[in-house]
Parts: sequence; structure tokens; C-alpha cells
Amino acid sequence: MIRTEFHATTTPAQLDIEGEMSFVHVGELHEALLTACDAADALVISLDKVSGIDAAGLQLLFAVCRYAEKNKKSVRIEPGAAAERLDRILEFAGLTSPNCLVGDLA
Amino acid sequence: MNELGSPLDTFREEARELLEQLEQHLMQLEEDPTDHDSIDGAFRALHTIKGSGNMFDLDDLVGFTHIVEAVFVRVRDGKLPVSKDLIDLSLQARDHISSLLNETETGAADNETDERSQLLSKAFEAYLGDEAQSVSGEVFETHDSATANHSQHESEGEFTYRIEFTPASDSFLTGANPLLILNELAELGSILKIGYCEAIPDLKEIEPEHCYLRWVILLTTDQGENAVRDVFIFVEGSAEIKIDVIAEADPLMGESGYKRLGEILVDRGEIDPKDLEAAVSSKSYIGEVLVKKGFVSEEQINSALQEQNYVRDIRENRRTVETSTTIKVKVEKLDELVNLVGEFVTMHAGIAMVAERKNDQDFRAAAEQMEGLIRQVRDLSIELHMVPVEILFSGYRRLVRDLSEDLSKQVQLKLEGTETELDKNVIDSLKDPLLHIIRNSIDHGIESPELRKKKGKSPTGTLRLSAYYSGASVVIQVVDDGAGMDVERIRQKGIERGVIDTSDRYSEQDILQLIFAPGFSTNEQATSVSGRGVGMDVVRRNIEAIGGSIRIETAKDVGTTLSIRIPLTLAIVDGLLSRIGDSLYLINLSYIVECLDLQDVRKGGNGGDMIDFRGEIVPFLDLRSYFGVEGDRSEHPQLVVVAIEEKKIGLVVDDLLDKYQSVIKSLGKVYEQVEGISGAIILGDGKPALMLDIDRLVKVTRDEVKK
Amino acid sequence: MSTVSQHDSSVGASLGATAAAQAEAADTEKYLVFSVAQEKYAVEVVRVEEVIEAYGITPVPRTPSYLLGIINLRGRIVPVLCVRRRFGFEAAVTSSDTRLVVLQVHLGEEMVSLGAVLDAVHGVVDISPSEIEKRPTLGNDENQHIAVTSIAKHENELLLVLNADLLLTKEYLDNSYEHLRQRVVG
Repeated sequence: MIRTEFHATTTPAQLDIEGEMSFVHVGELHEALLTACDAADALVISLDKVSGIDAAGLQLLFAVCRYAEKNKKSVRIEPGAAAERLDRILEFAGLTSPNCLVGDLA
Repeated sequence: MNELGSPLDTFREEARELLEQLEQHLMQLEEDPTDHDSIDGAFRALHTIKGSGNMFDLDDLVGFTHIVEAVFVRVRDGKLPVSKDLIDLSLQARDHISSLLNETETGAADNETDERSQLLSKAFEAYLGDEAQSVSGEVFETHDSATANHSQHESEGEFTYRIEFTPASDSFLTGANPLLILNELAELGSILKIGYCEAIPDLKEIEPEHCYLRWVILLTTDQGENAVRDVFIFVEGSAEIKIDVIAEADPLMGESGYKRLGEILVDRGEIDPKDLEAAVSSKSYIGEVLVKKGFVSEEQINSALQEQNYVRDIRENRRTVETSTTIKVKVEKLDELVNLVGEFVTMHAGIAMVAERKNDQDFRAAAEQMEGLIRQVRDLSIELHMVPVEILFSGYRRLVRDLSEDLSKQVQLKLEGTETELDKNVIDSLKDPLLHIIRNSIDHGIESPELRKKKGKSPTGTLRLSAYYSGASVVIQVVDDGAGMDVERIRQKGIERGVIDTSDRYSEQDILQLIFAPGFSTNEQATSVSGRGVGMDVVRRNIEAIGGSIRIETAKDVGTTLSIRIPLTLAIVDGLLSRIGDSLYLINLSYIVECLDLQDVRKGGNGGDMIDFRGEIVPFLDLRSYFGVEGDRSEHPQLVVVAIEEKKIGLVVDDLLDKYQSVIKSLGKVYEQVEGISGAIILGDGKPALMLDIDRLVKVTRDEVKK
Repeated sequence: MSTVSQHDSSVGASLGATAAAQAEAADTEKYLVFSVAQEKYAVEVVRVEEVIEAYGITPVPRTPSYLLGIINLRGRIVPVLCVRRRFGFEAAVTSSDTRLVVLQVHLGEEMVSLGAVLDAVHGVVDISPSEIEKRPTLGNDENQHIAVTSIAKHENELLLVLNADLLLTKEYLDNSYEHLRQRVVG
């Protein structure tokens, strides 16, 4: 299950992601991220309610950062309650966190 | 003697060794207060004593050690500098821990030690400042987490693989989750995963179902390459996999860390060697240059750096593991092994003789093969019995320090050739003689700082202990730059005592040797330290007992050098078999200068008991008459020229036979007083033969000449 | 009576063990009977390590004449003494009866193995304490009597009981070497 909620009116705009950022849902998630990134110049992506991330999900976060850099957009990923989860998967995959990730990981 | 010993005995033994190490580290710190290895070493020694002591409920010992350790934690963390006072105090603490340790054996805890514990604890608490309170109440951890982790590694047959793993882009779809593969790899051993995400396109271009990630994995495992490959069995067709061995569990392989950064990048094909060369020539940090020039990405550099660190860490761990996998063996057992191997050598000589006699080709071949094998076993067993002299030398640091302080002298101790190895038994026998010699050097040799200044010398005297190999011997020297010995005064004293006469036929060396005579001392004022010529006769006796010899060189105001020459190993000797009458005698090869036909050298017409050996007049000893052997003399008696410390003599024997290698056995108590024989060997046919005591024979012959 | 086996390690050991066991039961002690210069001697079997043929002796020069040299006893160097000479008799020519008895003796503070060459070994006998008498002290002891502390009357035979520890004492040995040194100097 994945759900996204996009608040375009706030500054910066905010995308809340809820549920599994897994391979099964990456298609949906990709669409949502793309829409949000296109719609706002400043965007906060909150992973607070994310209950799982896999390698495919992780790839998308890197892609977001890359996109933001390329298009000079300000994108911040806030791990919130998923910080520990995110940290674990990053460590497991031997990856350093995406540039636009903010806040301390566990 | 209790062979097995209780765990508490083992603890005591280990603790004493650790205290010994602690002392060495402290002495080192006195020389270099910033030496991290010594700080760590001192801390570890204390920590281990405390930890193990805790298991035996040795509260006094543990409590006291804990406070000392706490101070060293501060030192280690850079919160407290190493001062002379701290070293002094720590040395006292070391001695105190040693007495506490002894108390655990005698069971006699007395008030005096308690008081001392409190006194010293207070002194250490002063170094702790605010931490003092918390330290005393802290619960002791018994496990050193660092070593616990390391112990999981098998040190034998470990390999480090570098695995480059690039999953197929559709691997998410096919269910071959790369993370699961990483997980499987992790189960094989210790692993470092470096993920690469540089291939991930931006959000616009990404195919979210595709896998863009790739990994470089460093895996250290005792499993073979096949086991590693098996992990990839389901993805092999699609993924790109490259497996290389980058480090073998070979302690000889570069100790200085792993490959250079640039080499790693070239190995990985991430940079062209030419670019690397260009970068190296520009003298900045190589990583920086490579990134700046755009040859590699920062990510690639970081990853290479990680690899470098990983391999280095694994190596470090391995070293730790290796030291902990050494086993302790009782010296007696090693002695027995060396002896048995000696028997083996002897027995083989017998077998070889039978094989020769039977003239059986196969038998002879087998005996020859066996010989090769025995030689290896022999060399190995001798090696096991060898220890570096460092153990001996560094034990004197404390003595030199304490003694020079007591005598208000400034003495710097220098150790050289500490890696030189000697038979453990020899090392043990040298302990006391060297102690006496060092004492004498500091007491009588090195002058007070004032006097040294007056003489135009540096106020700090130097005492050098050095060891080096010289043929089948090791020479150990004690060199001081002190006042030197007054040869004339020793001569006068010798005349006074009637040991020598007033003629001038005594060489300087002869006169100097007088100081080894019982009760001979030139220092009118006996001091508490070395007494009246204390122990120099004992020194010589002890050294001669292990087949060694001692020699002195001295020059007024320049200093004195005492050289002790000792055989490498006591157990097995290479010798030359010679015949006198019906008996065979072994002459230690290391003393033999040359073997000649007696008639050839006697032609010079010198007659008497002297021969002309290459222009040098050398006295000789006819062993036939010396040993009282009856029967007919050989038609061609042989002359074996032997030398001890340049003193040559000739030994006349009937015949020279083969070189022979054998274990030397003691003749035992009944023959303890026999002259000219130092031991026995067992020949191939099982009959015993005697070993000539060259040292003694040289002395006897030269004394005879003087008369 | 058991006879002698040649260089057999088990003999002495088993002799000692069984002797000790039986002695306790019967209150008798086992003794090895041997002869030197026509006289019969007995020595406690517990002191006997083994009985072997007297060959393979390597002489050691510059030693007292009663010391014959050394033998190799399965890798051990064992000193050998001539009992005849030690007791002040002329040395006899080695015959087929000549034996070397390896004894355990105290020398100074140490327990050492000492080979003793004697004319013949006759076997082992059981002697009860009642058969043994302290030897009357004579005014001036002959050499051989130094080591003989008592006499056993056994089956109508007189046996001189040898105290193995007195065969070679530290004092006697030191004296002999001292004599030797003086003779060499003089």
C-alpha cells in the first residue's frame, strides 16, 4: 500500500508519503514525485509515515535529488519517523544518504 | 611441581607477565611521553589484570588496579599528560600490584599493604580530579568489546575478496533482489559494502522498475572462492560479477597497510594509469587532484578510501587475532622436545650406519629421506626454544633507572640488536651475570655528572647493551662510556695478592681477567650497590657454565666494554670427531681455526710445546699425554688449532674423523670435577663419546706456558 | 632364582615392584646377591634399576681409577664404577659372568644412577630382618667394609649387605679428585 498527499499551496510545498516505498509501488510513487517536483520550486518530502523502503524505493529518492540539482529546485527530504528505517537500508546497501536528505538519521 | 596448575595459578603467571609489559611501557613512556603504543599498552595491561582478577574475586587487587587504570584512561584520551611524577607513581603502583599478586598466593594480607594501597590510591585519585568519585563506584566491565569482535575471525586461510557486483537492470522484476544477495554474502564473513548510485538518472528519466545500483563488496572470509560464487548463482547469467582476491591471510604481505589510493583506482579501472601519473606528479593530495581534474568522481575516491581502510582494519584485526592464537607451552616441555629430537638425530645416525653396511639401495634411500625430515624437525624445535634477547635486555631498564637515581648519576640506556635470538636456557643463565655487570658499570664505571663535566664529557653517561651473531655464537656486550678500568692498579693489586708476579709477561687482557678472581676488587670504598667487587667471579663461573667466555676492553676515561660470547644453543652442537687412542672425542666446530698435519708445522724446528702457526707462536697440548692414554701413537698425528677469544692453541690428536652433529649430554655429578671434558654425546652405534672442553684446555695450555 | 637379561629395561623395574609387594606381605625384603673378589654381597632389590652385560663402557680420562667411564643406557649417560677397585682389590679380567648392575644411589643431595661392575650376579633372595645383623665395627676398616653396614646369615651362607648409598659418597669422590689433582701437580 502506498499513499501520497501533495500540499501544493504551502511554502514550501509538501509531499507526504505513507506506506511501503517498495518495488511493487515504485510506479505510483514515481508519478507522484514527478508531479510534485514539477509543480513546486521548493518542496519538502516527508517520509514520516513511510513503513518500509527497499532498494527500488531508495533509488527514487536519489533520483529526486539528482533532478532537483539539475533543475535548481530546492527539495528537502525529511525522514521524520522513518529516519531509522532509512538509515538501516542505506547502511545495508552501503550507500551514503542522498544530498537533499535533512535531519539526523538515527 | 604441579604441571597443570589451577586457573588462579595461570592468572598469576599471566598477570606477572603483564606487569612486566607494563613496566616496559612505562619505561618507554619515560623516554617518549607521547608514545601512543606504550600508553595503549600500559592501559591494556592494567585493564587485563583488572578484568581477569575480577573473575577470581581478588577485590584488593582489582580495586587498586582499577584506579590506576582509570588514570591511564585519561592519559589515553589525551586528558592527562604523561609526567615524570606519573611514571614514578605508576612504577610504584606496578610494584604494589605485584605484591598484591603475591599476597593472593601466600594468602597473607597485612595492614602494611592495605595502607600502601590507600596511599597510592589517593595519589592516583589526585590525577583523576572530578572523575574520582564516579570511578570508584563504577561497575567493572569484564569484556573487552574490541577483542570479542575480533575473535570471530578465523586467522587461518582467510581471504579478502573484492567483488564487483552490477545487477541486471531488470533484477527487481525477476525477483533477484540485490539486497538479499548482499545479505547472503554478509553471512560468509566480515563484509564492507560500497554502494554506487551514480548511475541513477534523474526523476524525469528514471525507469523506476529498473535497477541502477551497483556495488563493490569487500568480503573477508575463510570460505573459498566457489562459496562466494555460489551466492550469485541465480543472477550469474544476467548480472556482472567480478571476484578478485585482494588480500590473503599472509602475514608477510605488506605490513604497511594496503595499496595506495591510486593503485586501487587503477585496479578498478576507474582511472587510467597515465592520468594517475599526471596526478601524482602534481604533489597535492592525490584524491583531491584526481577529482579536480575530473578523472574520477568524489564518490569513487571515497569508495577507494573505504577499501583502503577496510583492508587495513582487517589486517589489524588479523594481527590481533594472531597474537591471541599463540599458545603457551611450558619451557620444560620444550626442553624435553629438544632432547627427544636429539635422541632422534642420534638414532638416525645409527640407522644410516646400518643402511650403509647392508648396502641396501632402498633402505639407504629411506634413511636419507628420513635425514632431511629430521633436520627440519630439529631446526624447528631449536627455533621454538629461541627467544629474542629483548626479553633479557629490557628487563634492565628499571634497574638502570633506579640505580642511577640512587647513585645520583645520569645514565642513558641504549639497547641494540634486541631481535637477536638465543636459547631460552642461555637467556635465563645470563640474567644474573648481566645484572652484576650492569651494576658495576653504573657504580664504578660511569662517573657523577660533575666529574663527567670536568672531564669534558656529557653529564649523562651512556650504557649500551648490544647483541649480535658471530658465527655459531652470540656476542653480548655491555659498553659504558665511563672512567674505564685502571689496569695498572689491578696489576699492583694482583702482585700484592701474589696472583701474578712483577714480570711484564702478562698481557693487558691477562691482568683484566684478574677482576674475575674471587674477592678481587679495585674499589677501595665498597658501596651498597656493588659491594666489594661483588660477584665478578660468580659472573665468570656462570658464563663458563653455559660454554661462554668473557672479555674486557677498557680505556681510561673512554669507557669499558665487556663482551660475553655464548653458543647459540646449548642443546645441539656441530663438531668434529677425533680419535685419541681407542676413544673418540668431539671438538666443537665453532672453536676450530684449522686442522693440520702435526709434522708439517713442527718442521720449523721450534720443538718443545710450541708450533709456528702462520707466523704466530702457538702452544699446543698433546691430548694423549694429557689424558694419560696408553698404546701406540698414530703415525700421522693431527693438529687441531682452536681459538677462544683470539687465544689459540693446538690440540694433538691421533686422527680426525667426520663432522658430527649431536645433542650434548651432561656427564652428571660423578664427573662434575673432571678437567678438559665438558659433556658426552652418543654415537651412531650407541656408544658414548666425550666432548672436549675447549675453553678449559685453552686456559690450561696457556697457563702451562706461562710457568 | 631369576637370571640376568641383557640390556632389558623391564627386569630391574619389575624386580623392584614385585619385591616391594612381597616384602610387605611376608615381612621379608628381596636382595640381589652378587660376588666381588670371592665374597658374596647382597643389595636391596629396590635399589637395582637393571642388570646388564658390562660392555660399551667409554672411559673418561683424568678421573679416579675406580671410575670406569660412562655407558649409554637408552639415551641416558650413566657413570660406571668398578666395585673391585673401589673396594681396594685388583681389577679382574672381564669374564662371561661379569655384570653391570645399575643402582639408584644418593650422591650429595641428588639421586643418581650409578653402574657397578661386579664379578657375577647370582640372583634374588628373600631375607627376613631377623636374618640380618649389624656388622661389628672393626678397628680399621678395609675399603670394602666402608659400604657394608650389616651381615645377613641366609641359608647357611654369609652375605655382606651393601648400603648402596655408601658405595660412592660425595666426600669420597671429592677426596679422590683432590688426590688426583695433587698427583698431577706434583
